[in-house]
Formats: sequence, C-alpha cells, structure tokens
Amino acid sequence: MILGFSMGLSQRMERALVLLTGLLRPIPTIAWVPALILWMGIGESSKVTVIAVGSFWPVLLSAIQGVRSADPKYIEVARVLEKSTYTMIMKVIIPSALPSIFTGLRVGMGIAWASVVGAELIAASSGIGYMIMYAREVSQPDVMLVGVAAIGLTGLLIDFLLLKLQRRLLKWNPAWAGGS
Amino acid sequence: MEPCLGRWIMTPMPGPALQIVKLNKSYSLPQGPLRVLENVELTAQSSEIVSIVGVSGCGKSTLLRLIGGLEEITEGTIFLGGVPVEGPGLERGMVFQESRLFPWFTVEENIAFGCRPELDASEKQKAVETHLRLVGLQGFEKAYPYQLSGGMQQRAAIARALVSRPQVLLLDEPFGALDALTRIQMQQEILRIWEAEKTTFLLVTHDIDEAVFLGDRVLVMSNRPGTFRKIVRVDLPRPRDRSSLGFIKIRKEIYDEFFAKLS
Repeated sequence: MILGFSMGLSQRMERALVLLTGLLRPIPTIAWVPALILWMGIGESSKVTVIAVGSFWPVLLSAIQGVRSADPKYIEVARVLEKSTYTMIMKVIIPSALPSIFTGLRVGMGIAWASVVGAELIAASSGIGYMIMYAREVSQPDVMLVGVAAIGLTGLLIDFLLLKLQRRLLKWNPAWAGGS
Repeated sequence: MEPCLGRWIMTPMPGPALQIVKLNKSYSLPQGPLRVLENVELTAQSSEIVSIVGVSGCGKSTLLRLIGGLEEITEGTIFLGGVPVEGPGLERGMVFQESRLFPWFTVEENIAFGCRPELDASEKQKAVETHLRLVGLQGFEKAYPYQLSGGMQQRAAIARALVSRPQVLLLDEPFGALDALTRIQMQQEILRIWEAEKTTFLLVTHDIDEAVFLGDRVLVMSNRPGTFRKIVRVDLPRPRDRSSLGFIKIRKEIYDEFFAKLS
C-alpha cells in the first residue's frame, strides 16, 4: 500500500518501477507456490507469503489509482489553507484514495484466499485444500463437496468483515457506506 | 469578540487592504502566449465589497486565483496590506463555486481544518463554534457534507474560509451553482456575515443583480485580455431594494456595458 501511495504520488517513482511491476504482475500466484514450498516448507510461513503475493497487485494498483484520482480541487483548498505536505497526504489524499483502496483490498482478499487453498491442494499438511486432496485419495466425494462449500463460506465471511470495516471507514460517502 | 481570540485578530491596517498594480497574466501555448489579464489595476479599501462582473472566460476567476496565490503572476504585483503576495496564505480566504468541503470530514472538522495552526485545541473549538453560529449552521456540527443542501454546504465553506480571520475573502461565483431562491437568500446572508466581520470581500460573479446588490463598487471586466472596462460605484444604502429606481438605473448601466450593441 505504501509502495502504491509513493507510486501514485511521484511520477519518477512510478517510472522507475513500471518495468519491474509490468514483468511481475502477469505471473499467477499459484506459479510461485512450488518455489515457496521449496524455500519455506509446507508450513504456515509459505501460506502467509502466498497471501502477501496474491493480494499485492490489486492493492498496489488500487492504491496508485486512488492517489491519482484525488480531486485537485481539494488539494487546492488545502494549499489555500497553507497545509503542509504531510497534512495534505494524511488528511486529503489518503482519505480520497480510500474507496478505491477498499475495492483493491476486497479483490486482493479474494485472490489471496483462492491462492491459499490452491497452495494447500499442491502441498500441505493441514487446511481445507489438504482435506479435499485427502478425500480424493480415499474416495469420499461428500467430504470433498463439504470442503468446496467451506471455501465459499469462508470467502463470504472474509468479504463480509471487510465490508463492515469499509462501512465504518467510509461512512462519509453515501455511495459506499451502505452499498456492496 | 471573545477576548481569548485577541492575539490572532489583525489590527486594521491603514491604507488599502488590497492593491493590484499593473497585473498581467498570460499562458504560454504552442501557438504563442495567450494574454488572459492585461494591465489590471485595483485598490480595495478594508471592509469594502468589490464585485467583479464579466462574461465567462474573461479572466475574472484567474484574477481571484492570482490573488489567492494559486497561480503565478506573469507581470505586476499584488499587495496585501502593503506586502506583495507570494503563494497561498491564510490571510486570504477563498470560497469557490462548489463548496469543496472535504466529504470525509464533518462540518465541524471542515471548519476546524481552516483554523490557524498556532491555535490550541480550546481556541480552535471556540473559533469553530463562533463561525458555525455566524453562518447559521448550529446543530449541524456532526453532519457530513452529503447530508447538507447546496446552500448549507456553501455556508460551511464560507465559515471554513473565514475561521482564520483573513484580511480578504475571495468569492469565486460562490452562489452560481445554487437555485435562484437560495441564491437571493445567500446574498442576504453574506451581507449579514460581512456586517459582522467587516472583512474586505472580493466577489466574482456573472450575475449583474448580485453584483449590484452586494458591491460598494462593481467592476466590469472586458474579455480577453481581461481588464477593467468600467467602474460603477453603488451609492445605495444597505439593505438594498432590488426594485428601487436607483438600483434599476445602476443595473441598466452595467447591463448596457454588455449588451449595448444589441439594443
């Protein structure tokens, strides 16, 4: 998110990083999983890294987009009121980027959750993905379907929690405070 | 006025509050410089209301933005209380056509955002309360901008611009986006606020009626490059009656400046 803010705020920063991000972005998260398992094993640390990688791009892009879309009219008001750059970023630019950041967070969360389950399908010693793979090996379709349903329900729960947080943080915005 | 606010009230300065000398402004475009303002001269006394009327695109908003320090001066000087202006500053309040209230702040927080940084929390609170009352928004402290009507949003924006006690308040078509009835109501409100504050008001508008109703003087701006073509002094006692003979005469005089060729 911080990287996104700095890329949104500074043209130079964006130019410096655009090639790197352009190269890394199209790689699907799942493609990292074998390498991560090799480096970090099949424990929690590799899963956390998968979450980080999976949610990184949507969050980064939405942070850049949010900062870019800060209305210059508000920035002008802050200039007239002699606000420092710090106040400008904290009180004007970040709040106006918040709606866009939340969209990125929700998309990122979805991808992260999907990637974790995917990682578990490849190699893990616990988790829903592991349960599904295990059920396949012992031919228990009922357990597999329960696993699939559990993935859906957990995803819904995560999204619901994010929505609640969003409603609280964006209560000033009638279009976002209530909506989905 | 509360005594505790005393230390940040400016003592009235002798001489003009605002003086503009030989101001030129041009933008450089690929096909050559575009002259927006040419030889603009203006002297506004303290606690005077100066109305500036002109057709859209004549540079009247640019003039306000120059005084506000939001744009670079090409040539000439703008003096505020004898000091040339450089960049934006709290001694010049600005109200735009849209309220430009920060939607993520409540009314109270928006007004507090305009306070001078040297105030402590209780002084800030007091200044915010005073100005909420001044613009008639008490009871709406905790409301978010989207919950207010257009007129109320503009009142909050005026409070935010006045809370730092500027020497000059720059109003850039402040009621242009309001409906006709709210506009008239707001014109009366702005007079009441001016009588309470006695700040120098510089009002840019394209509404001749509004310019005459509010201004001590009405400056008519010509088009591209913008310069003051005519100055009309409005020597009518306030509150002014829009249907009085004197009012209509002055209005016609300004009207003819724009449409003489047609009639």
